[in-house]
Order: sequence, then structure tokens, then C-alpha cells
Amino acid sequence: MDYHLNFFFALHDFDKLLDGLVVTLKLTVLANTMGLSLGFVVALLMMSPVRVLRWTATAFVEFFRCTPALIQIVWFFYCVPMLFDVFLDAITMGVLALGLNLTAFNAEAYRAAIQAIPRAHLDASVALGLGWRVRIWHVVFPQALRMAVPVLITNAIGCFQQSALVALVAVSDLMYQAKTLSTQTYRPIETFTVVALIYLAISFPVSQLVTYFERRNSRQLGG
Amino acid sequence: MTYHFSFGFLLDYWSALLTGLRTTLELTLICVFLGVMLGFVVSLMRTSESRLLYAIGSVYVELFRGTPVLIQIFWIFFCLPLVLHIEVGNLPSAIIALSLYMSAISSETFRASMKAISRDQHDACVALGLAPLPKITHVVFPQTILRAIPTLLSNTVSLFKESSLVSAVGMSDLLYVGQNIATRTYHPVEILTTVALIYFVIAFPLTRAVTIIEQRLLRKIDA
Amino acid sequence: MSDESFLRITGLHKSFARGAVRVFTGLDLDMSRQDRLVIIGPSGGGKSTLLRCVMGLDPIDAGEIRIDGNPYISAGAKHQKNRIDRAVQRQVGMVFQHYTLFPHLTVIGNLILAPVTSRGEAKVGATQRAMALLERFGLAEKARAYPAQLSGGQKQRVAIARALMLEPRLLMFDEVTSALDPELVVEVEHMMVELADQGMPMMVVTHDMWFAKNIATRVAFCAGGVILEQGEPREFFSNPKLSRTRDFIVNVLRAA
Repeated sequence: MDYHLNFFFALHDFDKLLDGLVVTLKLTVLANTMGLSLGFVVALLMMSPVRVLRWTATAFVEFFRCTPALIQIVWFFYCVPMLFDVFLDAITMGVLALGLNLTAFNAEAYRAAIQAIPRAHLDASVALGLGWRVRIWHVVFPQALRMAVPVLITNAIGCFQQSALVALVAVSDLMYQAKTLSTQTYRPIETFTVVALIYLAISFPVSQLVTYFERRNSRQLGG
Repeated sequence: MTYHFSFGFLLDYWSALLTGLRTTLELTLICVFLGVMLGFVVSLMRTSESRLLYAIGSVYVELFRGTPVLIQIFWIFFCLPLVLHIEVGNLPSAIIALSLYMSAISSETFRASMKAISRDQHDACVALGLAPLPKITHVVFPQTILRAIPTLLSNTVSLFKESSLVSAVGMSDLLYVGQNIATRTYHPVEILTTVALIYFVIAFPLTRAVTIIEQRLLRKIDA
Repeated sequence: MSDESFLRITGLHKSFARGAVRVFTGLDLDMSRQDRLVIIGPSGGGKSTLLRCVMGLDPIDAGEIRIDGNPYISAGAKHQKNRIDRAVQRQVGMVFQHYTLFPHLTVIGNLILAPVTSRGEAKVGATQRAMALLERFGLAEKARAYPAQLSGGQKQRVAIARALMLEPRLLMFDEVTSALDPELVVEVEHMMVELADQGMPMMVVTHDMWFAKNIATRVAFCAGGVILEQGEPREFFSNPKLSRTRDFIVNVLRAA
């Protein structure tokens, strides 16, 4: 093989990859903050008795779920500045694009969890004379949350991996650093393999967390 | 807003967009086909008694699920030719990358549907003295495929969306063509919105169909 | 025992969860060829597990099962698998509580699958036999239907016919009517009675006391993994020896 694998260079430029990783993590965490909170709100809107709210929320969710994330990101980065004459920095735009995408998926997860709550629980709380506010806070929310947790975590991992797409619009995340490094050093194999392993090293343990929660769920619910 | 909308020019580029769409659709269909076949084999590995096969299958699946699809595509495009010492064209690379990804996610689908076949069925096979091979071909395989169809359809929609990433390595799919036109005409909003709508118009009905098919199928199977 | 022992179980030990849950601690059971043995008892008492062990679905920890004097299932040394004579296993049939018909095959498809693929029978011959069986039990018109289109009682009868296709020498029924609506129980038991009249040795686990009283040649009361009492139905039901047996019978009959 006339291509000599040399992983040691990676150690030399590792700090650049780490910088990229920091950006990636920042994007993921901020997007998740948005996605977890806004997602719940949108889920409630999707089930609102007011038709306009319901339709708008559902249209939002369906649109973000049925179009490629890449086009959402590209659209955000190229069209929003032109349309609204705003110039946000790259990270903010990345967070918004990833965040809105995540909101849509999380809203769907919350909605499914809420609707999966057995009717019997809601009937019982009505029979006990609990007001609707108490009902939502003490009965709906905790159960919906517990059921939704595995999906929410899975979506968070998905967001973490999808953040790599912002490299294509020149945001200096981990993927971007990988691309730059591989062209600079003419060592795509080592660079991309190491970066893939970094993504894996973070995604895999978190996905094991999902399995743990799923098992706990089925046990607690008397699986 | 200082952006001037203009939709007329779209008609000039309609055929280019259709060509891009055709590439996207062909790519999706080929990769779904190859991916599903490979995915079934992988799922057999992950449900086999052999520890070695289980380990190999699991590493394979976790690798593709724990890394961004973008990196998988980059790796196949840039690293595979170097590893194999041969030129791998654009289209074969894209097919390889997306098929491998599809095989990983569909193997999970098959694994879940295999598990859903109730233990009673296995008991019945023992009680009837059904030999192992006929059991797999006549009982396990047909039911696995039937149960997996709704989720496989959903996987296909995912692949359809992820296929847009091949635009990042210069393949002329729908998104690549769209971006090209956008840069050439300085009207990113109209063109990218149109491209997004095309993706949506295909993905959305399919997503709805999944729910309907799922209900119909369960009615037939959960006898 | 009026006949040489047909099915003989000796010293059956079985536990689940690595010994944590003990089901049988030395169970013995004898069955003659003329027997229609009905096993009754409280849930969790081990009745279904007993059938499953005889079918070879669950491994046994210690003991031996013989059919016609031939070794069938014997427990291996510790941590080793059971030794099961497959030829003998093929002569045992079992019908389950939840039909477990293959939902993607037609009724006829269900019936001929095992004979054709695992017993080397020709498809034509198997189909003819299957149609004859279906006609005999009044199911011929459903031959091309799918399980989802059948009623619970029909599904169960097809399940029995499917087991009959393999010409078993012993047929076991695991609570086959427990999941059925009451009005559908009759047609299934009717079929079982017909089989009994034709001399099929059967071991039946059921909650239906009518069946135990009228169709069984022997009734066994199984609780806590032990056969506490057994005997002829008339004697068994009118004069149960143990108070526990008596309590069980009274409670079940009261609930009926």
C-alpha cells in the first residue's frame, strides 16, 4: 500500500479537532434546550381545541419532519439573511436551524407520549374532581415525560449527529475541522476515522442510556 | 424586507430540477432495495445464537447509527478508493454509502419484528415438529417481512431525506441542482423553497401511508 | 392401571430462574393408552408447565419421561441439555390456549406445512388428507380462509386439525377453551369428544369441570407442582380425599 497510515499526526492537530468538538457540543446543547422546551409547547398546540393553532402546529411539525435537514440548514443560512435583513452569527443560525428541526421531532414524541396515557388515568382524575391544571401538571406531564424520555434522548443523539451538517455552511464544528484537516494533511482516512470515533464515543454511551430507561419504563409500568 | 420575489424563472429550470429529482429517486430506490436485503442478513446475525455473529452484527449497526451519515458518505467517497486502490465513481460510492446506512437501520426494524412474533408461534413449530430451515423460510421470514413493512416504509422516507447529503460530495441530486440554480440566479428563496416542497410532497404522503398500512396490517396479523 | 403404561413420568424436577422458582420436586405420573387424563388445579400450579415439559418445550432438571417404555426425554448431567428422542417427540402433539395458527397462511396452508416440509409428504397427498380432516370436522368451507377471518372456536378447531395431521399417538390440550367466548367452547369440546371416542390418548389441562366430569377417564388435581390427588371422575368429584381438593372443586363449581 502506497498510502502509509500515520495516526500520530492526529495527535498534533488534535487541539483543532477539540475546538471543533466544543462547537459541536455547544450547538447540540443549545439546540436541545430549545427542542426540549419548545417541543412540549408545540405538542400541546397540536392537541389544542382551537383549529388554527392545531393546524399551524401540525403543519410546522410535518414540514420539518418531511424535508431533509440539510435543506433546512441551507435555507436558514442563505435565505433568512436575505429575507429579513438580519445578520446573525453562524452559531446562532446553526442553533436555530437545528433547534427548530429538533422541536418538530420532539413535539411528535411528546404528543405520542401524551396520547398513550391510558384513558383510564384521565377518567380517574376527573372522577376524583381534579381541576384541569392539576390534571396536566400532576398526571399528564409526569407520565408523558417518562414515556417520552427514550425518544427524546434518541432525538438528542440524532441532533448531535445532524449538527455535522453545519460544516457544509462553513460553521467551524467538528466535521468542518475534519474536512479542513483531511485536505490540509492529505490524510482523509486517519482524520475521518478518528472523527467518526469521536462521534461514536459520545453517541454510543448515551444510546445505552436509552436502553436503560426503556427497561426501567417497562418494569415500572408493570411491563 | 429588501428581497424581491420572482417565481417566473423557475419554469426555465424545471427540467433541471426534474433530472435532479430523478437521480434522488433512483438512488433512494436502489439503496432501499440493497439495504433491506443486507439488513435482513444483519438482523439474522443479531438474533443468532452465535456470539461471534452477534458481536459483528452489533458493531456494524452501532457504527452506522452512532456516526453522522455525512461522515459515512465522506469516508466512502474519499477513503474507500484509497483503501481499495481503485477509482470508485460518484454513483457507486453514493450507492455503497446509503445502502450500508439503510442496511443498519433496517436490520433494527427486522430485529424488532422478529421479536414481535409471539413465543407461541415458536412453541407451535416445536409441537408440529417443524424442521429449522422450513421454520425460518415459511414461518419466521414471511411474518418478519409483513410486520416490518410499515417501519421499513418509514426507513425509506428517512433514506430519501438523507440522500440529499450526496450533494455535499458533488453528486447531481435534487438538492445539488437546486443549490446550483440558487447560486446562479441569486434567488435562493424561491428555488430552495421549491426544492423543499418537492421533498415534502413526496415524503409527507408516504409518512401518512405508513400509519394506514400499519393499522391494516395489524388487523390481519394479530389474529 | 388397566393397561401397560403408555406415558410414564418419573422423578420430574423442574425450576425456573436458575433454581429460584421451583415448579416440580419429584413428580410422578402414569398414563395408559386408554386414558383421557384431565388435569385441573389453580393457576400457577404447574399444569401448563407439565404439558410443556412433556412436549419438550421446556427443559427438565431431573427425571425421565418414557412413552411405551421407550426413553423419550431424560435429564442430562448438571448443566447439560436434556436428551430428547426426536422420533418419539414427533409422535406427541399439542394444542395451545391461543390457537397460534400461522396468520400469513390459509387454513389449508397451516395444515400441510409441517407434513410437507418436515415429514417428506407430497403436497398433493397432504392436501387431500387435510381436506378430509376439515370435512370430518365441518371446516371444509374454510379451507382457503385466513385465520383472521375465523371465529375463535373455528381457529381452535383448525389448530386441533393441524395437530392431527401429524398422526400423533398422544395429544395434549393446554387450556384450549379458556380464551374462548362461552358459546364457542361447545364446538371445540365437541371435536375433542369425537377424538376421544375414536380412542385418541389425550392429556387435557382445563378449567372446564363439565369436561373433567364427563369426558375424562382420570382426573388429577395439580397444585404447587405436585399431583395431590387423582382418580376416576365420579369418585374424584363426589368424594375428594383432601380438603384442598374439595375446596378447589367447590370454588370452581360455584364460579361456573
